[in-house]
Amino acid sequence: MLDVRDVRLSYGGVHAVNGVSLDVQEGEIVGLIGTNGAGKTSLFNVITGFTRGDAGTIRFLDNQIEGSSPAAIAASGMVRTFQTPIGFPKMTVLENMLVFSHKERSERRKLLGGARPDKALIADALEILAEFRLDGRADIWVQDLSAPEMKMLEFARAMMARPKLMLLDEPAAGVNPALMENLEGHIRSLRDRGVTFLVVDHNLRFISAVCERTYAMADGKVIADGPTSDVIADPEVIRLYIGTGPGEAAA
Amino acid sequence: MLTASRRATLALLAATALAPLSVAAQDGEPIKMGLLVGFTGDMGPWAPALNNAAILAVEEINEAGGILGHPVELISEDNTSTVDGAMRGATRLVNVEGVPVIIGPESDPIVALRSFAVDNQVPIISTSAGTEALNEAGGTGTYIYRTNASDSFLGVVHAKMLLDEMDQSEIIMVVENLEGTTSAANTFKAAYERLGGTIIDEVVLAPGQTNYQSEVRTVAGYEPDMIFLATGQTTGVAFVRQAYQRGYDWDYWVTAELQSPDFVDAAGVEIVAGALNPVSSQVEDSESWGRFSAAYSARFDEAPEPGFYQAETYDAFMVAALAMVAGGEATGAAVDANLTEVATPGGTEVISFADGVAALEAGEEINYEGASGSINFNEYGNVTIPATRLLQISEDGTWETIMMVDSTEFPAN
Amino acid sequence: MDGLLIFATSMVTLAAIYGMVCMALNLEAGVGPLWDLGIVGCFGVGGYAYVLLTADPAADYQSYLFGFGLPMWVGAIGAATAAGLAAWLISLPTLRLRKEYFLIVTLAFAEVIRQFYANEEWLTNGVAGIYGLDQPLKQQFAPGDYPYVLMALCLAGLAATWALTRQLSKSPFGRSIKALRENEALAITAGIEPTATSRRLYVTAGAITGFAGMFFVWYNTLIVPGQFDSDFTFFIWAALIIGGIGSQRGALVGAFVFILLHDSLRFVQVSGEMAVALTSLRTALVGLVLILILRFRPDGLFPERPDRMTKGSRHA
Repeated sequence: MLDVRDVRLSYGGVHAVNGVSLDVQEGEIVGLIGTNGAGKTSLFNVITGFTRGDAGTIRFLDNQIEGSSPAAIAASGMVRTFQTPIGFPKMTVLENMLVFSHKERSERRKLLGGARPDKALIADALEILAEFRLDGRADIWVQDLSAPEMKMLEFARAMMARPKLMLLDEPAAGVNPALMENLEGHIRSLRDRGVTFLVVDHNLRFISAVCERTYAMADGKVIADGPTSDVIADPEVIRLYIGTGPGEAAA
Repeated sequence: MLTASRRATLALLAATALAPLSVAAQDGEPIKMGLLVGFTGDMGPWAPALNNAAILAVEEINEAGGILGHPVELISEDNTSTVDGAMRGATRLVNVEGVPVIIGPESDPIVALRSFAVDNQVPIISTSAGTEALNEAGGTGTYIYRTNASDSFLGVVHAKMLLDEMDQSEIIMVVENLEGTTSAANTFKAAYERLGGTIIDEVVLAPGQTNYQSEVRTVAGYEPDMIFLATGQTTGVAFVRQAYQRGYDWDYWVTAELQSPDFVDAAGVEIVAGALNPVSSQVEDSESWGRFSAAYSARFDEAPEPGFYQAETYDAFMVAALAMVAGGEATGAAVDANLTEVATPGGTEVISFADGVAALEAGEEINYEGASGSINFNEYGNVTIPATRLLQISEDGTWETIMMVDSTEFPAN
Repeated sequence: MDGLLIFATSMVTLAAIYGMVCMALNLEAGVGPLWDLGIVGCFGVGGYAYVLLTADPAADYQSYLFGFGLPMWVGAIGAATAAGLAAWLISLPTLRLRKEYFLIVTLAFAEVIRQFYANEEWLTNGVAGIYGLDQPLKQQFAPGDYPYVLMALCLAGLAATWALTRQLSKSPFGRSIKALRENEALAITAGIEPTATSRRLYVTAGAITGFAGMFFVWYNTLIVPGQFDSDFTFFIWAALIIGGIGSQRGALVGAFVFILLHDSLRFVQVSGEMAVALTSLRTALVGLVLILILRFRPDGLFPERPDRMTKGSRHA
């Protein structure tokens, strides 16, 4: 589904991504771990089109996507999240949902801004919100939500877009254990409904709980890949993690 | 020509007019006269002087017993130096205050108020609008007048003075691209060329620059005798200083914007001494100017200056008040019907409101001679100015009158 | 009393014109992400386009091109089209810029446009402007009634602008520009192209502003470059901040409050000698109110509120 070949990116002499290749198959939950500065977020930015890579090819659903605009890549079914899940703060929870809907995507280019949302679309959005226990909060601004609610809304929003592939950027950062379990549950249940995941995190406990397969990065390169349990047992990976701090590296 | 019935009305009103002021005030509502100028905005620096002239005029009218027995009240209104500000100011003056006449609006405002004046039958008399748009727009029936000379007339004055008095048949123009300066330059150019002069080149200065070196070089290329300089103060100072620093000691013929002590102070006497400027004025030592100047100085502790439109403003109030007296009613229609008549030749010459009222009550026709000039409105509500005074910056930095020329015979535009 | 009514009519007429521009600016900068300091540019382009299309040919002491004497409805379409086109041209280099640079560059563009009217005499009659312009339906009514007619026309324009900007801001397009305002990176992941969307917004707001420029010409009966300096932009911004940026009602109320404030001192009657001192207070008064609002109601008189769509509540 996603095939990244030999991607490179450097900023002023620093090789942030130095020839990375990875692939994600449909239905998988794939992890990407590494210490701070390993190049994970840079790689994410190149894949999603926010940063133009220096070299390499990226194929998504059999289309070459490197060089496409981030909006076009997103529209083709690859949706990413951000480390801080603030959403659109001064828009309601429901508006946050609508913006991601396919219907609005086609409507917003029309004259007079397109037709206003119909009942069916709003009902759809509320149904997804209910799944994340946010339906009672539909009409309030996102900035008035609690932090866990914002986290849940992030998944709800992504669901609204009916993505084929979701790229999660540090979903476990700053999340308490109870919420983390909740998150794991949602990720698995979404996968069961056909969504594929690529998850960046450096919380090894979280990664090992949800990801079947994992890549480990250091200094812009992939240093290990394979089943998650093997990767986190890899001596090189252990050395890196212990060398830089506790295994449960905090956010 | 006064009709019999009007004479009767006047006789009747004479008693009231001559009664003590306190009685007149009780008698009836005051008559309000509106001054609509730019107290804020671009015209802000000049407006207080116009307001003073209006205050002086209204006080004199009241001392003489008011209009038709009613005291006069001055309503000063800001037009924010903008067109839409003038619209609202005029609307308030007419509809809220009920003034029968509006005096003062500058060029853009009075042009915008043309249909307002006719629609509301309220004459609007500018005292500073030079715009060519009024050259043939005003006069009896249109409710539009001005007591200052038009830019076109001033252009003729500049041209005649340069050609006839200075024998200067060629000149280079240096013009800042602002409304006032461009208008003055264009009217001068038209008149000068029509009367046989040659414009060697017209160098345009963009407003608000600090460096005019390349324009100075262009001008220097012509090795000019004299430069016609139409700029605002800041740009004018920058230009003459930069020319001087490059070693050019040109003679300047400047427009009204630069005719001030500030220009001399800012540019430096050594640079601008000898610069010339013609000012249209009342004939030297005329009784009307002397009388106004003395009264103004006594009232406000400063002398009025030709070119600041105080006299034009004062005169506008006087002729409007006299027109109401002549018409026997304090209405805009009466002002419009009689304004030209009370100010143009034919009848007793008067220089004050009191004299004018006395003559009207005696059944005479009157010809108001103003502080600023004769106020002889032509058919388009325009005036010419009887004399031109040539001013020059002396070696000690003051503007001195070096010549008076009779401009009665100059064409109006 | 009748007189006060006519004066109030004149103020309402101007406030309606300000209201139209306020709503266009609110769409751009309140709902959308574009902090435009050059809104007067499109306002002037609309006004000039209208005049050049509808005015009579130039008199001999004037010089301006066209003066086609075309019907007013052609002028209305021309005003919106020309302003939209100007906005499109300005958007080409500016939309790549970050917010603070966008502010500066739009301010500069508006000044460039004003210099254009002032310098291109062949087209605009330069700084002297074009005057004696017709007003719609003027002949059909008595002069004394005309102020009410003009007010009605401007209020109709205001209502049309209200309906249009409200539809736009509640539509999917409106949500996409709000999303860009709130979080551009996230908006991109929703498939929103920032530049293309912003350009469409800028052109739309420019066209509405140009349309409002036509009403300003009707109000003034003349057009001169001096009417379109950056003071106007700042007045509109002040009105929008007073009313509440991001709120449709705020934009409307802000325009009326601003005009009332600006002219409130006209209601104070003082002697001629005091008039000079009083008028100089005008700008200070507007400034003071602006400071008080920013201090005590930083989101304006009618702050932006959540757009409730679920429970049948009808709040804007």
